[in-house]
This record gives sequence, C-alpha cells and structure tokens, in this order.
Amino acid sequence: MPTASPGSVLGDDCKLYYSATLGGAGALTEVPVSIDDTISSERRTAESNCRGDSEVSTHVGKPKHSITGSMLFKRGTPGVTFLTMRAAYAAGTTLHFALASGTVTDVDQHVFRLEGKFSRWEEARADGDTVKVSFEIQRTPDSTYASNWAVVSS
Amino acid sequence: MAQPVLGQIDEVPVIQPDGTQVMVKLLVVGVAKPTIDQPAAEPE
Repeated sequence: MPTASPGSVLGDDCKLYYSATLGGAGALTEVPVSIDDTISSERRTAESNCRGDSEVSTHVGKPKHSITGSMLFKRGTPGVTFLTMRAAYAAGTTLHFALASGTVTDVDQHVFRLEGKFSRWEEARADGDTVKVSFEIQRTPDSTYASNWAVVSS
Repeated sequence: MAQPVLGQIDEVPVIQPDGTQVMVKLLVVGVAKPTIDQPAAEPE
C-alpha cells in the first residue's frame, strides 16, 4: 500500500467516498470526480439576558459539521453514482460519507467520516459534456454515529 | 461496528474504481460526540 505524500491535508486533492451501509462498516465507493471539497464546522451560540443587559451570557453549542463540494459527471451517461446520489437527495436518505485527503488506500491519508443527508443539490450543465453538481451534506440530526477523523494506518 | 472511539482501528472495505475491493485500516484520531438536536426550551 503506497504512502501518502508528505503534508497531505484535507482540502488538497480530496476524494469523496460513500456507503449506503450506516455505522462505518459498509464498503466505501469512490465518487469518480469531486472538487473543492470542504469540511465546515460551526458552533452555534445563543445569548441569554435574564436580568438586564448587565448579565448577558453566551452559550456555545457543540460543533455542527457539514461537507460541501462539487461532483463532476459525464453528460448523457452520468453513471450509477450520480443516480444514487440524486435519489438519496430526493428521498432524504442518510448515507455514510468519508472525505479523504487523497486516495483512501494510501497510508497516512486523513479521513473525515460523517453520516448525513444532502441538504443542497444544484445541477449545472453549462460546460460541454460535464454535469456539475454543487452539494452540501449535513449531519443527520438524530444519527447516533459520531462524526470522526481518522488516519489510514495500513 | 461500534461507535468510533479514540485509538480505535476500523477495518473498512473500499471498492476501487476498477471494481476491486481492498481493506483499509482507519485509526480514529478525533471524535465529535454524538449530538441529537433538542428543541429549544420555551421561554416562560
């Protein structure tokens, strides 16, 4: 098994994988071409003001993660992955996603795993024979699978 | 597969573009606690 190039980090030549099997044990299938993949993490905050402006406190919540990016497919024959992804978006199906800093079979790659649903699906066919789908995946709120980071050890 | 915990090694099958399948070991190095969204409390 090859070793990832030094300094591999998420955001640099990422690869996106998915599985219909939840819980982290399902076989990961590579999305053929994905670009501009990004992990977003945000802590929501809320302010409370119980006794006037002199006692305003801010409550900081747990991080909420999401994955954004674009997938490229061949126009006319976009393939099984395209159909699977679009059906999952239309039905609101939760999938297991793994976003790797490169080919996930290379040692030392960084992998972020999350179980979520497509919350955004924007298809564009502006360029030649390419279908470009900009997407956002948000963690399924009632998922019991904890989002996590891992490193390929072998 | 159990809930991921720090230090755990998951053996995950990966289907490669040519259809072959290989096993990959993933060492968990960071876990976000599972969070289930709760509705905000009603103001009194």
